[in-house]
Amino acid sequence: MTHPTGDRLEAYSDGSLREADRSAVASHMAHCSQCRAEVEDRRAVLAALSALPRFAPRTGFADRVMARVRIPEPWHAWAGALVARLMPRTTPGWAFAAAVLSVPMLFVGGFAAWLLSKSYVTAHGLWVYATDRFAEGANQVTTGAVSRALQSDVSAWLVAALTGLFDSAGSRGVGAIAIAGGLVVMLSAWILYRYLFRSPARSTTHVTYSF
Amino acid sequence: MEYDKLSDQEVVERARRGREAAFRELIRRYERPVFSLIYRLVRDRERAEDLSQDTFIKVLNAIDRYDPAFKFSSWIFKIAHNTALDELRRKQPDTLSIHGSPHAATADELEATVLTPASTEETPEDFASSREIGTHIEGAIATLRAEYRTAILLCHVEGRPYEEVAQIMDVPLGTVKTYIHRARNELRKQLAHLRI
Repeated sequence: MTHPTGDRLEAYSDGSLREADRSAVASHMAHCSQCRAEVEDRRAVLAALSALPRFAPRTGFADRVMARVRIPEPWHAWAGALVARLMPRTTPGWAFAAAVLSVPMLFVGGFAAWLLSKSYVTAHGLWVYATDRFAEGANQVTTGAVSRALQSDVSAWLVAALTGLFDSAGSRGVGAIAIAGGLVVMLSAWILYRYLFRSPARSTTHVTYSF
Repeated sequence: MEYDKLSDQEVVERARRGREAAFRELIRRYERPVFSLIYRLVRDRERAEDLSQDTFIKVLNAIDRYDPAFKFSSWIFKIAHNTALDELRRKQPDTLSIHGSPHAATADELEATVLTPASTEETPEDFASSREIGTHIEGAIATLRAEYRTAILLCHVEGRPYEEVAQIMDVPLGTVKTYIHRARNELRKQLAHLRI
């Protein structure tokens, strides 16, 4: 009697043998106790392998891994974090930030109001003037734009205003105004640093008990 | 969001968008398969824990470089397999025992190195019986060459098809078939005396 090869018996055991070969091996096994025993042995090994358990790592495995994983940050989360970092953290911080930021707004607003109070100035005229000057400045930025700006009407007005200030307040008065302005700027910078970019300091009281 | 209903690819896509829950879901799905494979390869619980952690850290930190053309399971098993092989090349593995490491110096160490199955659904009688068989089959697997061991574990414990095992081990399909054929024959010889 010719026995099936080991490969065929193995394929028969794990169910990967083709149908035609399968019936041939099955009919052989019906009369061959030796091949039947070998197939049973092989199937027992496969069953034991399939029954092998999976092992679990110690509790907290995920936390230990996650502590060393960099989670990619989407752009909106990054932008949100930046905005949150720049926001004041206290009520005085909000108040000072609003005050400091309102200074340039007040200057710009006051200047615009003064201009619009003139009968010969209109909002449309201002817009046309501003866009024309911007276009001209952009075109001539490399060809004496600075000297042209100094010769403009606005520059002449600024020079006249400063000369008038010198005449009325004197050099001491102008110096005092400059020192006061400098102090305000330094105070603003310190407040911004204190309330916007530094975490509020926490005072901690340590108490020691002895028995 | 119910991550357990999503495919691996969908979970990976969410992890790439920065969702921490997606990272944790990938760990939940693969911590036991990866740990089991590495544990049976290096045969030391502490080293297996460290290597499993290294595997997940490598995989999750490189999630942006994952190619969706391949199965996620193939990728993570490939990294686990390579990590374990690197370790085996550096150190000689201990003998495996589900009763604990033979090198344990104290009762606590011995307890800490006992193999702990993930499933606890067996009755005590079943567990005692399977533990007896498990001792022999685990011991027999431990004597196999690392390549045979990886192939047989991926194929029979993790249920991966031959093609995926070939991809994970980075060898031709025919080589995987040879590994599994030889591993089965060796196991059959070693367990013949038990008549399991």
